[in-house]
Amino acid sequence: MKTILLSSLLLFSSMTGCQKKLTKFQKFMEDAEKIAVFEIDQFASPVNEQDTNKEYLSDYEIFKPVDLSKPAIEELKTILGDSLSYTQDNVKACPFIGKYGIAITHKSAYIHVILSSENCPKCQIISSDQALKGDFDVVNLDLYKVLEAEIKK
Amino acid sequence: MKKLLIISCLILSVFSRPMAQDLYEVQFSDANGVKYLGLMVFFNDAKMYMRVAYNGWDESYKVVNVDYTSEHGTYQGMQYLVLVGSNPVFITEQGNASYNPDHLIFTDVTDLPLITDNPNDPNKMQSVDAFRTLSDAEITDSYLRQFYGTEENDYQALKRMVGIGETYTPPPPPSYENKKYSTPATLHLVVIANTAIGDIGPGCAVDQRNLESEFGGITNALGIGFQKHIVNGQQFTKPNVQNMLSNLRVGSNDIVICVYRGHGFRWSNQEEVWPMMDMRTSSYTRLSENTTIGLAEVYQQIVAKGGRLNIVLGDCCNNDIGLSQITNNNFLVMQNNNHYDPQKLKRLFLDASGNLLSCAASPGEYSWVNLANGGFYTTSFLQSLREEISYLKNDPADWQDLINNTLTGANAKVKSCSNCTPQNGKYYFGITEN
Repeated sequence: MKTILLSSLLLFSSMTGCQKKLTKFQKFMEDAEKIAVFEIDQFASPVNEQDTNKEYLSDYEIFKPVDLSKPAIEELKTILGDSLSYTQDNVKACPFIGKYGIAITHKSAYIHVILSSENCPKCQIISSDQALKGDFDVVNLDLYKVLEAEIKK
Repeated sequence: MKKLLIISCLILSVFSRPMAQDLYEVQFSDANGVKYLGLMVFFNDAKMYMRVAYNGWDESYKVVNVDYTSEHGTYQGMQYLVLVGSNPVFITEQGNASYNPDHLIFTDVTDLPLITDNPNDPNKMQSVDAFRTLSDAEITDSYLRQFYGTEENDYQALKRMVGIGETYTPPPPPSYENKKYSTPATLHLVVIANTAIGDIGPGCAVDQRNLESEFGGITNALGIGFQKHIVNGQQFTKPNVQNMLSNLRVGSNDIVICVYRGHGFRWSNQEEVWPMMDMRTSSYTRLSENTTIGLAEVYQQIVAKGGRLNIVLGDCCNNDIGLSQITNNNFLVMQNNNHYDPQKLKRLFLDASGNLLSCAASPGEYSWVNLANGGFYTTSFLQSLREEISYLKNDPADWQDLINNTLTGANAKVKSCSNCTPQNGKYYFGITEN
């Protein structure tokens, strides 16, 4: 019933000129030149407490990089570039526990996706473009499957 | 603009506001030019009805009752609220007439709601002619008589609600002279809300505002004291909660309503059923015993204060976060319409004593939050509370019904959310009627 009603509504909306917009995030993923994935600390470290001998991704200590195969990179780009992979509407009230950091770059612009563990699938998006920043629930859990598969190789 | 605001409010409020007796008027027409006048009566997002009045083809006056449920969400970037009609029943003589239930769709891309009685045919969908909230002053006896028979319970209840007609008798002032208690009661509203955290903060802030508004209205209607104890924003820390609880002075006739709104979890090696409260406002702080409090611990501290009625609610997740316990050495303020039945209020808040502890999710489950409207559980609690103290409810007000409806309501919201997983709240019940 709901689907039929909404389909009807979309038809009605299209008659009134409503158009779907491609998100900036999707565009960025399409243009991405490099994607790097890291295993990271569970919690962020304030800048003044960071160890200069260690590397950090958006204040999360990097434990080790994850080697990605070409197919895995393509899968990640597809999942990350799909706006339906995230939501800010209905979210879980569980604590964020950092597990993976994903760095995506295009020229001098960047997006860092800090992924919480699969026990509380959420992500923080940090970007050189302020408009892209935010906290999201991860809806598409295939993201974890792709990363776990690469780690187990 | 005004119409748009009302619709935006409705989209949010049907999901979020406990609208026990909110009334809306809908005017619409069909392809044959027949004019329909609808009166929508909301109880909660799963329970509402519309009385539709119109003149039939033979000019006979008809009134039909249509039941409604709602579904709220986002579809391809468009926020929507669908009111799905069912079970049309003629209140007036049916004769040879029939009536297909209408379905209403509210969105943030249309000024007025759309209506159709045939969801399979998009061409039959059209805008309603008018949609508005009714004020108490507009709900006159003659207005109600367009939709109700004089013997109907809801007709009588709505008249009592707005204080009109011969059937209205002013409610007696609430009695504080309980035989067991010599002092007037004060209601202490304790809200511990993580309003500063990025992911669920906005939803927690909505819940906090709604709780303050609701219990402010209730204590005002009861004529009892009201004290707020709020821990939120950057003050949301374990030491601040502990200080607040240790400074909480509760009389023997007092009521304590404590609501936790924030992240919750359970340690991997935790045996306690009730969740841990995560008292951090950012991921720069590590989870440890210095930043967590058990919901059961808060309950024990509050009960130990000796108040007459203690309600402790935890709207948070209760899932294993994959960590063992770290022993650390190192679009809206709720419009309060004050449509409370004083007898039901008295029964819930002045005649009841004992303790209630409840949380939003069973061990292993997430609790869900809508960022615009608040937590499913807290929203359902407020909706159930409003329903319990509604003029339109025929049964006596009862805390057991209220908490059962809270859990059922949260579960129903989860079911209408495409990305949500089941959320089955739990409770310990120890409340008796005096």
